[in-house]
Amino acid sequence: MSSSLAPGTASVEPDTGSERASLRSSRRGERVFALAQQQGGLITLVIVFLGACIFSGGFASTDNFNSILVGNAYTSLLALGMTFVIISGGIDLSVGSVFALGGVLAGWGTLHGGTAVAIVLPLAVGLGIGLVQGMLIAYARLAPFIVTLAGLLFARGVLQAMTNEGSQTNHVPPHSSFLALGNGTWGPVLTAVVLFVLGAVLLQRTRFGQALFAVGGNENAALLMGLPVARTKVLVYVLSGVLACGAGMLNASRLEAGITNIGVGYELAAIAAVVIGGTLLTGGAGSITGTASGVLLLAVIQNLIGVHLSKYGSSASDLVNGLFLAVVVLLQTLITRRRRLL
Amino acid sequence: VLGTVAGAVLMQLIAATLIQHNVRASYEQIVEAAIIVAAVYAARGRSGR
Repeated sequence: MSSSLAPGTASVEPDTGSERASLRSSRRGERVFALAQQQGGLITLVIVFLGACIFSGGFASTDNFNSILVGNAYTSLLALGMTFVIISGGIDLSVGSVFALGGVLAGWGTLHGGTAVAIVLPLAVGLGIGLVQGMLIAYARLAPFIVTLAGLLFARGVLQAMTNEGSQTNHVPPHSSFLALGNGTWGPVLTAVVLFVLGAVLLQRTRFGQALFAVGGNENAALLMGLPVARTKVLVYVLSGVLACGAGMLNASRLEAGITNIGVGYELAAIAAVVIGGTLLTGGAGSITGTASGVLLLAVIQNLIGVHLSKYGSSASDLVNGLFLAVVVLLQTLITRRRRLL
Repeated sequence: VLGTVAGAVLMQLIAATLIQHNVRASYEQIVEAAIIVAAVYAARGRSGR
């Protein structure tokens, strides 16, 4: 570069100045694009939230905020687990079914073994499913999409088998101490907040988090650096499985039953929230705060649609979510291309 | 394309066979999951060689 040439050469100086200006401008551009990619979800959330508070009557009420937060507290845990999976460069399609299975197992546990069984059994099964999926992906080198698709079918099949093809619901006994887990307004929200904070610390402040970014960014380079690529991948799917089954268990406590037909399509909502939050589908970049913004943004949009477009049913919500996701992915692609050029 | 058609026919054949033997739909899903993983593992082994 001419900026590294000796100063004082008359023919070089103007070039040097213009190149420096161009470098400064390109760095500024890079910072803007990085900000748009990382904090785009949060910025959009703030804009939509303020717009809804001003223009949508009834939105800015304590009851409505409580409803948004509590209604999405447990399903947000699916997005939390999915963030780790997507940063690693993978995908987990099984979380919706595993979420439902967690609820059914918790309901079954309260009827056949008490509160301890209702808590431990779903977590153990979630861990088992995540471990098997992770090992198939990391050691047998099978595609995450296919393995977790099989996991989706497996978990759904198991819960259907446990509930006589979905016709039987395991109700939590009214006196069970298990119900204390999911009751109230702030319990579910605080649980989700604590887990998100722990997730952020795990991602940003630990060796595992750093290895995860490296694996998602370039797996071969991570291998050459001596990072435990396979172990990191297995841990990611274990985390996702435990969070999904645990979220289902907590949800069963709130609903006082293990509902069988719940969780269909939840994996897609989780992926949408993660991507809207700025995590790259190709892996190697993302954040927990971004995912939290994505979850809240989708929740606010769903709430607004429920209030203003309820006559069109849930299809309007799906349509808006789909359009929103398409725009975000398009912007992500453009930003990534632009950053490569800068 | 032929492989895809064969795969789709095989999955339907297995589902029909399980139904004919009065296997519950839930077990059918579990079997399908196992077949998917086994098929992909086999295909990976073949491409690896």
